Amino acid sequence: MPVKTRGPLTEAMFYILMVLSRGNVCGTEIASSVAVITRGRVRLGPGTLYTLLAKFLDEGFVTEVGVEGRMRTYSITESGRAVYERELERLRTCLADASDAAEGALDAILQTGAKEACHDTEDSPVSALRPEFA
Amino acid sequence: MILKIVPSQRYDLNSLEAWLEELAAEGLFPEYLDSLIGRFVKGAPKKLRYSFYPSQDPFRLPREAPPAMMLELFASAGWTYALSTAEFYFFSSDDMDAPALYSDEDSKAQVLKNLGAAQRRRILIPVILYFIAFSIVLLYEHLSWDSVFYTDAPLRLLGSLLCVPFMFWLALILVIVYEILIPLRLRKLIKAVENGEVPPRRRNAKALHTALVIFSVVTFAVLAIHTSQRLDSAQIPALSELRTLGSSDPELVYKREGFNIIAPQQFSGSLHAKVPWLADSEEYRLAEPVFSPSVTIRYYRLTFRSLVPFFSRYSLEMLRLVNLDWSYTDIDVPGTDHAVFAEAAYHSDAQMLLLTKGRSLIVFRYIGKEDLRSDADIFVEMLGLPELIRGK
Repeated sequence: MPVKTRGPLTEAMFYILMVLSRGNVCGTEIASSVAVITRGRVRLGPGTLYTLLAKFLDEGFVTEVGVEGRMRTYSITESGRAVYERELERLRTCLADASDAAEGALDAILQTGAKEACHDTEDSPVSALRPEFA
Repeated sequence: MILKIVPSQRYDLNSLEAWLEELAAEGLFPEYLDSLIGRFVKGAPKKLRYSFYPSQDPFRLPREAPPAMMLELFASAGWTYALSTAEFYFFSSDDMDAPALYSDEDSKAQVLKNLGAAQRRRILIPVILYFIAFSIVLLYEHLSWDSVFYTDAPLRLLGSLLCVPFMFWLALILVIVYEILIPLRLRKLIKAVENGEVPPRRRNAKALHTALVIFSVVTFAVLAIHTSQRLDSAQIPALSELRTLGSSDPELVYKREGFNIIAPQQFSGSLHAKVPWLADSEEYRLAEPVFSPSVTIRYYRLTFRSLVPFFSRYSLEMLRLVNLDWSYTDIDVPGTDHAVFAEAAYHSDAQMLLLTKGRSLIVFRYIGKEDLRSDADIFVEMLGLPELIRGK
């Protein structure tokens, strides 16, 4: 099944898919699990949760697998899992880049690359942002 | 039951929520809410929070409760459904620690964008259909009129309603309000939410809403009075005369439907007879049915005098297209600006008389043995119908 292309997920989207990737859950559990995972940093409002769940259902990333009374249980689909894993990979790469940058491993590369870019054109965006590189 | 004017403009939702919270603290809880007025019931004062979620199907009547999935998620977070407006569901919570409905501005902006898209879908299609129908009925007015004989009242009513200039202006106002002003305000709100700003408030919203409510009540009252007028033949001498027109047996065939003002600028009335191809009584199933007389009158008082020649000319041209074997003659009728007589070649009993004077246009359609021209002086009196109505 081809994976739908989409841009980076928002934080709320990412955590909803994260919870769903662990197993089938109802809406209330999604909200409480996100709060636990993030140690209370992210508290999903019901409006936000409803909007995103409805969007995921519409896009086929999530499916409803059961209704018990008023409680509905949701499951992540293959395409939803693929989107989550792609986002996870993107975030890992970001983190790795940030980690390298913090350790100074990128300084030489960054300065050389920026200088080269500045020599290519005087209107380089790097030059505009960091005039000292020019 | 307590009525209150809404003090904030349509999409100033922060102010609206704050207002509802103030009223709840005074013991007033909303039962019905629109952009101008709210109806409240009295109860024990409560400290409540209110919040909104855009409706999935805005402007739907009757207003519906939110979907079950939404109710479940919101209830689990401490939010109870309070009421639906034309575009929003309102939820309340007595738990001051309950999470806000939206935990990020992205999702809040997203639901408002969804509302904008739903609005466009909801409003645009009826507006387009209205204008298509308006154009068709205006251009083919007599075609729709002719269909009356075959399809009965609904089409005639549609034709009558759609042909009135008053309705055109009303539709135009609705288009401007719903297609331009409301979406514009919603776009401003979405932009403010996306930028994390408080939407700009209109300070005089309450005064404006009060004025609109008064205007609506007065307009409704005036229209109700006008549309409830029913005139009988005793009040319009010309109509009394018409009742005897060409009737071989009026007691049997005429069924009077009254003379109703269906809009401020148009009047229509008919003295119905059963026509052979519609009749269900035995006398009409004879090999040579008795052809019963029938008169239908359409009276227009057009908004612009300059439209009268165009409108009458166009009416005739369309009739000519539909009835190729009719003949048309300009006739001289004292007291009119223009008069045309038309008759069907295939059936000498079908006639039409069109008279104009000033902004007034009156069209008689007649099926019977008499010659409409011989009664033209009676019909000329009807060009002054509004004066007759006012003077009754």
